[in-house]
Amino acid sequence: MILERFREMSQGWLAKSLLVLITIPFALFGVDYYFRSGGASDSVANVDGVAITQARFNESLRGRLDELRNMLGQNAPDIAQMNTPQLRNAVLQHMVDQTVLQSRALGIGLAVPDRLVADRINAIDAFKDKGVFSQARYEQILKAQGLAPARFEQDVRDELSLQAYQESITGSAVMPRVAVDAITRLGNQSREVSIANFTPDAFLDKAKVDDKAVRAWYDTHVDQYRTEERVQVEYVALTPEALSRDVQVSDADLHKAYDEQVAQKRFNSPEQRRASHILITAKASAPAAERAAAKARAEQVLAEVKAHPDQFAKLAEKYSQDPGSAKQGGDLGLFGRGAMVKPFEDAAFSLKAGETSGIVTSDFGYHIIRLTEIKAEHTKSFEEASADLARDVRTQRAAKKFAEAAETFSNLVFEQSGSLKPAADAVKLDVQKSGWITRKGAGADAALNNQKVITALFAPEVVKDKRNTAAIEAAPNLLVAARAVAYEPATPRPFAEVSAQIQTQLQRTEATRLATEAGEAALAALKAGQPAPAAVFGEAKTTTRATAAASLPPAVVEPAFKLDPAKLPGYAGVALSNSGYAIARVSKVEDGRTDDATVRAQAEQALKRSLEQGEFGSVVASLRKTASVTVHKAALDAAGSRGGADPEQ
Amino acid sequence: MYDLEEQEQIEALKAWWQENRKFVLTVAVAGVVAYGGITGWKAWKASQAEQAANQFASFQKAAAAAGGDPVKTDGAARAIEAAVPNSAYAARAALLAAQALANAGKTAEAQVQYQWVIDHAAETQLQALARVRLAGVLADAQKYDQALALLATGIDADFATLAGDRRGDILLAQGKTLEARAAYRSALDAADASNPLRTLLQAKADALGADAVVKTASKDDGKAAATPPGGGGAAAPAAGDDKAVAK
Repeated sequence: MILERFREMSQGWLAKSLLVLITIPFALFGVDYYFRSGGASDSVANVDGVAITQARFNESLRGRLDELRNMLGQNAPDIAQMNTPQLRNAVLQHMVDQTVLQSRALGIGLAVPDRLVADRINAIDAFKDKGVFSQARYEQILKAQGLAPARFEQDVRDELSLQAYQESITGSAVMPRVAVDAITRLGNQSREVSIANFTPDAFLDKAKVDDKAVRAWYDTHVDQYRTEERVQVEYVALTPEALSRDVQVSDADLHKAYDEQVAQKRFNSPEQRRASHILITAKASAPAAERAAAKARAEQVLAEVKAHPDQFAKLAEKYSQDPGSAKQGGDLGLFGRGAMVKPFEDAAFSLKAGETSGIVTSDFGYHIIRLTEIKAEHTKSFEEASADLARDVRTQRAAKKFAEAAETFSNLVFEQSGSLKPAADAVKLDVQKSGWITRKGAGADAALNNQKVITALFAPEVVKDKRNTAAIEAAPNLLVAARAVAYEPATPRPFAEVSAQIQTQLQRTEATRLATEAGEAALAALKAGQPAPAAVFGEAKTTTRATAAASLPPAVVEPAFKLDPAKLPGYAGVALSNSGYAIARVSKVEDGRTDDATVRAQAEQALKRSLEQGEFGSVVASLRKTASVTVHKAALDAAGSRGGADPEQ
Repeated sequence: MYDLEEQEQIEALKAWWQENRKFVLTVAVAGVVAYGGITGWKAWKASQAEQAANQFASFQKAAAAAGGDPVKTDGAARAIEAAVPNSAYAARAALLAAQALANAGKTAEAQVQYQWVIDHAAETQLQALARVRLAGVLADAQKYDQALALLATGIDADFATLAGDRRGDILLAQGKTLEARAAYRSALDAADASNPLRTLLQAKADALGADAVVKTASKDDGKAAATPPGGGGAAAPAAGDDKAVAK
C-alpha cells in the first residue's frame, strides 16, 4: 500500500520540486559536499581556516624522520628517540609556514597559470611512457595512490605557487659592496695572540692534601673504588673443527668421492685456445660505404699476411685497430668458449694451431685470426686431486657430525646441569678451563669472548647455583656451554690500596685550583694595567679566527677573538678543564683585505646564502603574524606518537 | 487506518506548500544566483590573476632575453607597473628591475624602482625589503646619510635584524666602528636562535669586540674537581678539552 502511494507521489509535482532542491547542491558542489569530513577533530592545526590534517602531518613527520635517519646514518638513534616533541613542533611550524605562504600567495593574486601546472606534471618521469607523458599512465598511478587528479593537480599548483613566492623574494636579492666589504674585513680579521699558561704541574708543590682529606674522600666515594666482579669457568666449545679430529677417511671413501666429482666435471678444465688477430674496425651500424672500405682494407692486409705468414705479429702491430692487442702483436691470450663474440669464437675453434683464417666479420669489424695454441681439455688425476678431496670429505663429515652432536650436546648440558662431563664425553671433547673473566671480556679464551656468553656466565644460576649455562650459539658453528668454578663479586678495595691514588688526584685538583686562582689574579692585574710577573707569555702568533685552531688552544680562540680591538693590548682568561688556566693577550688587530678577488668571491657566496635565507625568513615571520593559527594540541600529540610508534602508519 | 493518516499528512504538506511555495522558490533562486555570482567573480579574479601572471612570465622572459640588459628590463617593469599597478607582480617586476640596475651600477634608476615598491606595493614585507636593499645600493654610491635614513623608518620588528645588519655594514663603511658594533649587537638582540643571519652577524660583532667580559669554562672545571678517577677498573673522567690544550 505504502509503496504504491509512494510511486504515485514520486510522479507528482511535489516530488519533482523536492528532487530539484536536492539536486542543486550536487550539481554545484559535487557529491563530495555531502561526505567531506568537516570536523576539526582530525586536524592538528588550523591556519586561516585551512586544516592541516593528521594524515598530512604524519606524512611530513615521517619524511623528516627519514631525512634525519639518512643524515645520521649508522649513528641514528632509535626512531622513537628522534621523534621528540621539539621535532614534532618544528615539523608543524614548518607546515604552518608553508600553509600561510600558500594562502598569501593566493591572496595577493600570485596565480599559477594552468600551463605551468601542466608543464610540471608532464615533466614527472613516473608518468612517462617511452619518454613522453602518458595520460593513461598518469591516471593509473594516481588511482593506485588513491589520489583524484583534481586533488593532485591542486597539490602541484600549491607547490608551484609556494615556489614562485619564494623565488620572487630570493631571486631579486642584491649584494651590496658594503656588505661584502664588512665580511672580508671582519670575517678575515687577523689578530696577534700570545698565551700565558698556568698549569697545575707548576703548582703541585704548593698543593697540600692532608691524610684526613684523603680518608674523607675515600669514605664518601667508596663506590668508585671497587674491584671488578669476575668469574672463572670450565667450558666445552663444540665446533666442526674440534669434531673433525675423529673423522676417518679411507682410501675407498676418497675413490668414491673422486668418481662422483669427475662425473660432475669438477676436475675438468675445458679446452682453451690462444689466438692473435688483426682488426679493421667497422661498426655494424656504420654506413655501407664505410663498411665496404674497411672490408677492402682488410682484404689488402690479408693478402699481405698470406705473402708473409711469419710476419703476423708485425703486421698486427702495424694495421690492427684493436688498441688492446695491437701492441702485443695481436695476441689475445688464452680464452675458452663463450668469451669472444660468436663469429670470432666459431673461427678460432675451427682453426688448427698455426693456421690463419680468412676475413671474419663481427660486430666490431673485420678480423684476420691466427690460432697460436690449443690447450686441450684436461681432467685432474686421482693423485692430483686427492689432497683437496681428503680435506673436503673431512669437512663435510665434520659438519654433519656437528649437526648431529649439537642436539645431544645441548640436551645433556641442560639435563645434567650439575656437570659438563656427560655432555663432553658424549661428543668426545675435553672440558677446558678458562682464566679470570670480567664483564668486559674473556681475554685469551676466544670461544667465550662474546657478549651473549659473558652475560650468561654472570647469571645468578651460574655464579650462585653453580649450574651449567645453556649451550649457547656464540657464532655460527660454535656452541659453547660453561659452568663457574670460581666467582668473586665486586668488593670495595681497601683504603691502603687506593689512598696513594686518591692523594695524587686530590693534589692535582688542588693544584688546578691554585693555578686558576693565580691566573685570575694575573688577569685582573693585567687588565688594570699593572705588571703581572706570574704571567709568562709565549711566542706571539698572528692568525685569523678560521685558522686559529692550528696555532692556539681551542678554548682561548673565541674569547681572544671577541676582545675589543679598540683597547690593545687586551687580555682574556680561560679556565681549561683539568689543565689549569690560560691568559690570551691580543697585541695587534688587522682587518682583512677587501681587494682580494678570491676572498671577495667567498664572502659573496656566504652573503648570498645568508641574505636569501634571512630576507625570506623575515618575510615568512612577518606573514605569520597576519595569519590566525590554532594548534590542536591533543590531536598533535596523538598524531605524533602514532607517527613515531608506527612508521608504516 | 494507515491510509487515513497518510492522507492527512499529504494534505497538510500540500497546504504548507500552497502557503510557502513563493518563499521557498525565491530562496532557492536567490541561492543559485548568489552562488553563480560568487563563482563568476572568483573566476574573473582568477582570470585577472592569470593574465597578470602571464604578463609577468613574459616580463621574466624578456628580462632574460635582454641578456640582463638593465635598461630594457627597467622599461618592461615600468610597463607592468603602469598596466597592473595593484597586482603583486608589479612590485616583483620592480624588484627584479632594481636588481638588474643596481648590479649594473645604475644607482639612480634602481632607486626609482625601489622607491616605487616603497610607495606602491600592497605588501608591507616588500616595502621593508625594498628599504633594506635600497639602503645597500645607496651606500655603495657613498650616499650614506640617505641610506641610513631609509633604515630609520618603515621597518617593523620582523625586519629589525636585517635592517640592523645593513646599518652596521654602512656604519662600518663610514669608519664608525663603535656605532657599527652597536648596530650589529642590536641586530643580534632582535634575532632568534635559528635566524640565518646570525652566524655572519656574530662574526662581525665579535671582530669589533662583541663583549669585553669573557666567560670561563667554569662548569666543566667544577665537575672535574668533584670527581677524580675512581679506583679499580672505573674509567677516568673524560679529559674534556684539556687534551687539545696540551698540544
